[in-house]
Amino acid sequence: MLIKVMRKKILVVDDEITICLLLENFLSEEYDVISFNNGINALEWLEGNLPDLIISDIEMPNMDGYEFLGQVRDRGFTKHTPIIMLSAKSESKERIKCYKLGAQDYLTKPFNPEELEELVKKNLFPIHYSINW
Amino acid sequence: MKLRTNKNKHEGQLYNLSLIKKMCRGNEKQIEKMIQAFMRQTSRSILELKFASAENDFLKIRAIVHKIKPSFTYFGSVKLENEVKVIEALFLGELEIVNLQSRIDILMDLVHQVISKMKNDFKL
Repeated sequence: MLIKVMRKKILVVDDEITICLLLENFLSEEYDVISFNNGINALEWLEGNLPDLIISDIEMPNMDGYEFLGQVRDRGFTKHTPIIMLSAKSESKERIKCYKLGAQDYLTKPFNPEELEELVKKNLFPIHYSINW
Repeated sequence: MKLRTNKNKHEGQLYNLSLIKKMCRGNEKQIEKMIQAFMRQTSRSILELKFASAENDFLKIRAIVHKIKPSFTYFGSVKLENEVKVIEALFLGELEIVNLQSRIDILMDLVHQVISKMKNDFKL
């Protein structure tokens, strides 16, 4: 009997096409990845879809990552969806702001792909991850 | 954890695709797509930088430079990364701000060199 394993779905939001593509290419081997270049379109997509994890940039035009994060947390369905924030800013005040708004993790760009991989696993499979660890 | 690149080894190179290849898991089609996206995005950012510079819009210059820096790391362009660091240092007051225009010109020239080399190397 063939058992179809459901792949986890990751939503990526970044206005830099290069970063979106990079994340898509890197993560799509193990996960289903959908990306948007702005928070507004991503929120529209979230009206009818529920990802297992969201990765979002902070510095974006029209709607920045903080606003996007706040709106995601305000919605019932995505209230508990893990979110990893990405930013070229490495100051701790940025990280604190994200954590206060409800982000699980914060990764500074340019990020190490292996670190991203571990953060994704940690957020998608928290119990299994800690047992393996 | 910061991303480490072997800067000494690649110091003189305009770009180095080893990290991109790793992140694209060696898929040639995806690598080419990434290169095209980089060229498109960087050209657009440089154009924005040119306008912001003409208008002396320092906030915008700072934001653009900050935004494009990670891509330079991924594409192993140590020269571009270093130039961005110089511009960032100008904004932090570590260097004379009067040098800003000349540093932006150097950055734009370097970007043109990188893109031309990519176009040439990949027949794009």
